[in-house]
Order: sequence, then structure tokens, then C-alpha cells
Amino acid sequence: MTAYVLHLVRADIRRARWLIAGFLIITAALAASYGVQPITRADPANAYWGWLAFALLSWAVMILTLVIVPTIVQSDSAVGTNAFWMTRPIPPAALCGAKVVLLAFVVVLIPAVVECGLMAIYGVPVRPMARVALQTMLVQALATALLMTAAALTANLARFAVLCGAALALGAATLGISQAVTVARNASYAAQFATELSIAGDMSINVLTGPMVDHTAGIMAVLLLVAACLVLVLTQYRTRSRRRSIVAGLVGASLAVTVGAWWPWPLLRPPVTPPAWALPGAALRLTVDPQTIETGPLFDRPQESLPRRVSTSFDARTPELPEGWLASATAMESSFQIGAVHLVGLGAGGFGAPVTTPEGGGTEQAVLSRLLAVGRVLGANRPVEPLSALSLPDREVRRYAGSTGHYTGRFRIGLTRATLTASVPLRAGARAQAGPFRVVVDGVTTPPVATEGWHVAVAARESNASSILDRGPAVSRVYFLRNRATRVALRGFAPFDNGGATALSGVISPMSVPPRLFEALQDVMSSGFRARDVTIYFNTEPAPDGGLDEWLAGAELVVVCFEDGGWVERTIEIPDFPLRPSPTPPPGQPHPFGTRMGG
Amino acid sequence: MTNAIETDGLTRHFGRTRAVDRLTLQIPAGRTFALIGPNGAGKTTTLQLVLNLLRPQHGVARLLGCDSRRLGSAQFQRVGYVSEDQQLPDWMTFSQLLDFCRPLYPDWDEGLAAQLARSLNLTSGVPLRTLSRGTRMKARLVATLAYRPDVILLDEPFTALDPLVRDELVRCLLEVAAETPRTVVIASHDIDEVERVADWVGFMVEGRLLFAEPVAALLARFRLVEVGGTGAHRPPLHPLWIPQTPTASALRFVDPTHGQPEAAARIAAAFPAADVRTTTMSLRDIVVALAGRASVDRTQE
Repeated sequence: MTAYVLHLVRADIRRARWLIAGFLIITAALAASYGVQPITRADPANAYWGWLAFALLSWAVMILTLVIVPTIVQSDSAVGTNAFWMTRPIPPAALCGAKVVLLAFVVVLIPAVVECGLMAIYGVPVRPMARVALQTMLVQALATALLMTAAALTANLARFAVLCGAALALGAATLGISQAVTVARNASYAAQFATELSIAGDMSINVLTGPMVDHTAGIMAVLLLVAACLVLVLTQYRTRSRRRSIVAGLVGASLAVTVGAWWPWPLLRPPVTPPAWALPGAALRLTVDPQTIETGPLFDRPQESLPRRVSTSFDARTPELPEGWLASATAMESSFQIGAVHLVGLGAGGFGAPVTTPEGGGTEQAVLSRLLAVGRVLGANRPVEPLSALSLPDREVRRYAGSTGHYTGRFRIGLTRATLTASVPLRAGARAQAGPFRVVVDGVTTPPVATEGWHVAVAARESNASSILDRGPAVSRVYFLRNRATRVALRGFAPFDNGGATALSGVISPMSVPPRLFEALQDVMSSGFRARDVTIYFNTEPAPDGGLDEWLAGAELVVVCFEDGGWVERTIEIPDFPLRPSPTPPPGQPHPFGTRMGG
Repeated sequence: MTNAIETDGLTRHFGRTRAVDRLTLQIPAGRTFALIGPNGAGKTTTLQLVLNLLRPQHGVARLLGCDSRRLGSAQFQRVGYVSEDQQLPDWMTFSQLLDFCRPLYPDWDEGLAAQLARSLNLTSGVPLRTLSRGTRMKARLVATLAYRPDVILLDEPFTALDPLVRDELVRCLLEVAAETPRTVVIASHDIDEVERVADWVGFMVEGRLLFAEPVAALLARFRLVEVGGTGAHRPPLHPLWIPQTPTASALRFVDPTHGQPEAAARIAAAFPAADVRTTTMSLRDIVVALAGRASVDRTQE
């Protein structure tokens, strides 16, 4: 069998040698074009030509892929009765295997190898490089398998193009319908949510999910989908019956979707566990100053379709928080008991509030100041929001306003660890590397801005490699300018580069079916190897004391990494919890909770 | 004698068209069998069913004793198929085609391939797609004969070929077939060429096999009968006889029972005082007569 496969592969290589060579060259050129883009963008003229070359090469690779796959598959057609191989001693499995081997090498392996070369140039370590390469191969394998399916079911390139066009149209229609269903579901979800809120007292919702999406199910679905496509192609070669092969493919695809939806083992879930210091119950114990208990509307912009809710909040503190750690609390469920009356409130979900120490430790300012070894961090003054602790229907609050009862709240305290990843001298060419992440400074400008203050723009190039196979915790990076002499740091803002993430996120929501498969593909779009030029803005108003130029002369660019540190649960018991009345609108003013006053 | 090819109730429809209808046929090994019939008779479909290029809806076909639906490499190493409709890997040159085929066949005879190529004036160097139809057909034949298959199936091999090329192909075919007893099946409507080659013949019309027998026996039992001197009195013909267009002076029909004891008596009884003259028929004339009869029968149905 192996001899047959190799013999057939050799014949196909000879057949498509120019296409394969062209694909290899253009793929390498595309990678080179992508790799030099951050450099060429410094000059607007070069940036245009660089972008144009990249766009054209991208299209060329896509078109070549669309030509190579059917050319290789249809050189020994799996449909009809007149293909040469059909009356020759060539086993269909060997023929199918030869096509798979060759296309896996050309369309799947070569792009991954070329990308690895680019990542090596950018200093990406072997492990993240391997994970990105695997992700690339996974996506390429899916695309190749789908194209092989279309090629195996058609006799020539024209019919292949028609089938692909029809499939794309069908896919677009399906996504459109899916989106419409999603919107409809959103509407019904809102109504359902309103209903649930109105009957608060008999249920609680844990609105929080895990810190990271596990893509095991999505990857399994992709692998099974690839396998289903290959089964379809093999069945077509063996039976030459479209009906049978399509049935086989549909069964496989259904299995893939089912496994994707019900896969029970989150093998790639990031091992995010809270640090040892946070595990004892005494650590991160929450305390509440009764003086800070307030009542207000749950939503700043109440919707008419929702019943009015009132949220009671307070400032939560914890006695101590180790250096470099930030904590935020989110209510999961809460209850309020007044005598025999037991009110069960809902957690406020994602409205996490920072948890600080009574001495002010744990604030962003404090953590960053210690981390950066400066006295002040300008631009890092995130206000400490009160912790939303109890959410009740407005009518219940009005009924029991002024009463004192026993409050019990269960909170989830999320931990974030801030670490100093890299520091780079503020001069052109200076470079820092931290794992797969690299930043290179290109230059510093101080653009004139009408407002007073310091306005600094740092042109830089950054690159990173991530994939859906990563098992590390969620990480975000923030740039700072630091001057050790003046002990002042400025927080920077770099426009978010989603790398095309919105290309799918606009039409595929997690509520689409099958969600896990699309989640994986969606995250593929926003991961992989990324290299970009970035302008980091540092705006501080008003201006600190001293001259900006002198300050910049002694400054350096610092990268701080915020890493998910896991979470713990804590419970707060307040025996004499005052249920304060909700604010009443002045006469003639709309009620702050909306216009519908019924309960 | 074993059969190289057998079919039993073989049926294949395309929509409402009955391409092959309950075909039961045995082709003994070592014979050169011509499957003839008008266009659309089902000859090509029969070969495709035998080779598992199509799946039968009913019935079964066996090639070298193997159910056609289970044909594998072992059988295809002993079977050759040549058809003008068969796609060639036409990006290959002739020598590349031979290089491609060679490892597939344990019995590949490089000397025979070279000899056939020389004999047919086949040269390499240009892709097959640039060659003429006749030259491409020669290439197909060499790539088929070079491994000395036990069964050779030829589907309309002479279509649109000039006489010279036809002669070359037939000569090569006969040379290879003469080495050892080999089964050759030729599906064709080119009866003149088939008559030169075949020793058995089967006749198909509208998917049905009308007969299959040795050519010699067929030629022996068909006679063209011309009856003169009947005047205006022309009695009805016996149902076995196939009417032919009469001349001004003679009634004409084909008698498919010549040689049988009662054949002469039947004619004598029908035309007691007439001038009866019988002449031998070519295979072509026989087929034309049978096709005409089948057409009449169809019309009457």
C-alpha cells in the first residue's frame, strides 16, 4: 500500500509541480510580507505598498489553494466512469491516501513551516511556536478537507467552483438565519431574564463562568469534521456514489457537531488555581463598613421591558493583600432575612468591584507604584466602585425599606497578578523579549495637543504568539513610561488590535449552533502569530511638574503583565444589615428606574 | 471451458431508459467476442457494468470469476480496458504513461511495450494531450497490452480512426492475442472491422441480447433468399423469416435457419413453383437485417 501511495504521490507532484512551487513561493512571500509590515509602515508610502502586497499575496494564496486542491484530487476523478485509474490496479484507499498525503504536505504543512520560520525570526520560543503551528495546521486541515470534499464530489474545476459558490451561499444564508435566531433569542432571553428577576426569591443564578474558554471540544469537533470529510472522500473513491459518500459525510459531520457540543473533558482548560496564600478561609476575608451601605438602581439605563431592580452596595475591604496582587469581588448570590421574611437576591453578575485593604493597598495605583518602584503612576487612578451586594425588586425594597435584617452574601473574589515583564530604553531599536512577546521601540514623539499636559506617542513594533492550544492563564499587557529618577510613571494606551477577530464575531455569537466549534474557530481568528506596529499614547492632564523632554530623556518603556490568578469564594454575614430606601424621583421627574411603575 | 465473463439478469436503467435489460451472457475464455449493436444498444454500459464502473441495479456480472462489485487490484492486473472515452493522464508523455503503469503490473513486459511502441510508431517527448486521437488510442493500447492481460475489453476502439491506424491496432491486437489464448471483447458498431477479428459475436438491441454465438455458425445459418417468378402472388412470409426490400422481379427475405433440415422444406412449401435463389451473407448484412427486424418488432410493440 505504501508503495502505491508513494508512486501516486510522485505522479501527482509531477502533475502539479508548477502549482506547488508557486504555492510555496507565494506562501513564503506572504509570510515575508507580513513579517516586514511593521517595519514598512513607518513610511506611509511604503505602508501602502506593503499593505497592497500583503493583500494581493493573501488573495493569491487563497486562490492557489482553491486551485491546487481540486487539481490534485480531480486528476484522478472520483466521479463518473471514465477516469484512467478506475480500470487500473490502483486501490481506491491508496489513491485517496496519496491525495491526502500530498495535500497535507503542501497545503497544511508548508504554511505551518513557513510561519514557524517567521516566528523564529521574531524570537518566539519553541513551545508557543509549536502550538501556533499546530493551530495553523488544524485550520488548514479543516479548509483542505472541506475543499477535498467538494473536489471529490465534482468532475472538474468549473463544477467545483459552482459547488463551492453554492456552499458559500448556503453558509451565508445559514449564518444569516442563525444571527436572526440569535437576535430573537436575545429578545426572549431578555424577557426570560426579566421574568426571572420578577420572581426573585426562589432561584439564584450563578452568572459567572470559568475564567477561560476551554477549546478542547471545539478542537475535537474540528478534528472529527476533518475526519468526516476524509471519510466522505474515501467513500466516494471506493463507491463512486455521491449518495453514499454524502450520507457517510453527513453522519460524520453530525458526530463531530454532537461531540463538539457534549465533549465532557476540558483537557485544555488552563490550570488557573488561586495562590496558596489565598486558600485559607482567613485570607481575603471580606469586611464591610456599614456606613458605606447604599441603595440605588441596578441598571444605569433601565429598560422598559425589565422590572425595576434595586441594588444595595457597600465598600468591601480585606485585611491584607500581598504585593503585586489585585482582587475584585462579584456577588454570586445573596439573601436578606427580616424576621420570618426571607428575600433572596440575585448576584449582580459581572459588576466586579475592587477589593482593597483599609490602608489603601490593593488599588491599582498602589500595586503599580510598588511594582514599578515609583511614587506615582499617572493615569492609573481607577475609582474604587462599591460592591453590588444585593439585588431585589423595587417593590420589595419599598415594602421593607428602613428595616434591619440579616444579610448573607456569597462572593467570588477574582485575583489578578501584576508582574513587570520587560523594560526597554526609550531609544530607537531598543528591544525586549519575554517569551513569545517582543517589543521594539522605533521612536518617540511629543505631538502638539490643544489641551495642557504631557502627550507622548511611542512608535513601536510588537509581536506575540498565542493559540487555542495554550493552557496558560489569560494575560493582558499594559505599557508604562517610567522615570526612576523622578519616581513617576505614565500609563499608556495602545489601540487594540484584534487581528481580524471581529471578522467572525459580528456574525457568530456563542449562542450560534454549534457554539463550541465556532468559538474555537473564532478564537483562531484572534490568535496565532501576530506582528504589528503600534503607537502607544501617554496622555497626562494636567502636566506634572518639570519639563517633558527632560523627563523623557531618563524614561524607559515598561511592560506590565496582568495575569489571571484564579479565584476564591468568600461569604459575608451582616446581622444588622439596614435596607435603605431607594431614591425617589422629584415630582415631575421620571423615575430613575424607568417609566413603568408597576411591580 | 470456463467463462471469462458471465452476466446473469444484469440490469441497469438510467431514469426511464433501460440501458441494459436482464442481460444473461457467457463469454468463454480464449475467445474474441464482438458485442455489436446499434448506437444506444447498451454495449458500453455492459462493459462498464462488467468492470464495476457502474453498479447494476439487478443481476450480477462476473469477470474472471469475480463478482464485478468486488473487483480489486488482483483482477485489474489481469484485465485491460481500452476506450476512447477513457480519460488518459494526458499531461504525461507516452513514456511517462508507461513509467506510471509499469509498477502497477507484476507481468509488465518492457520488451513488449517497446516493440508495440516501435510497431505503432509511438514516440515520446510531448504530452499525450497534444497527440491526435489515433495516436492517443495507440498509447492506450500499448499501456494495456504491455502486461499481457488475460481479458482485454475494447469499447469502440475503431471509432473515428483512419483505416491505416485501424489496421495497425488490429494487427497489434491479433499479435498479442495469438501468443496465448486470451479473451478479447470488442464492443463496436463497426461490423466490418469486428468481422475480421471476432470468432464469437453477440448482438444487442435496446439493452437486450438477441443472440450470442460463434461467427462461423452465424454466417452458416443466415442466408438471403430471393424468390423470382412469383408474379403478383406473394404469400405471407414465415414468422422466422426477416423480410427484405423486394426487387421488381423478386421477393427477398433472410432465412436465419439455413442448414436446418426443415429450412429448405419450409421454403419449398411456401414457394412451390418459384425460382428460389439463396446467397451467403456477410456479418454486416446479417446485423443490418436483424436490426431492421428488431426495429419492426419495436414498432409493433
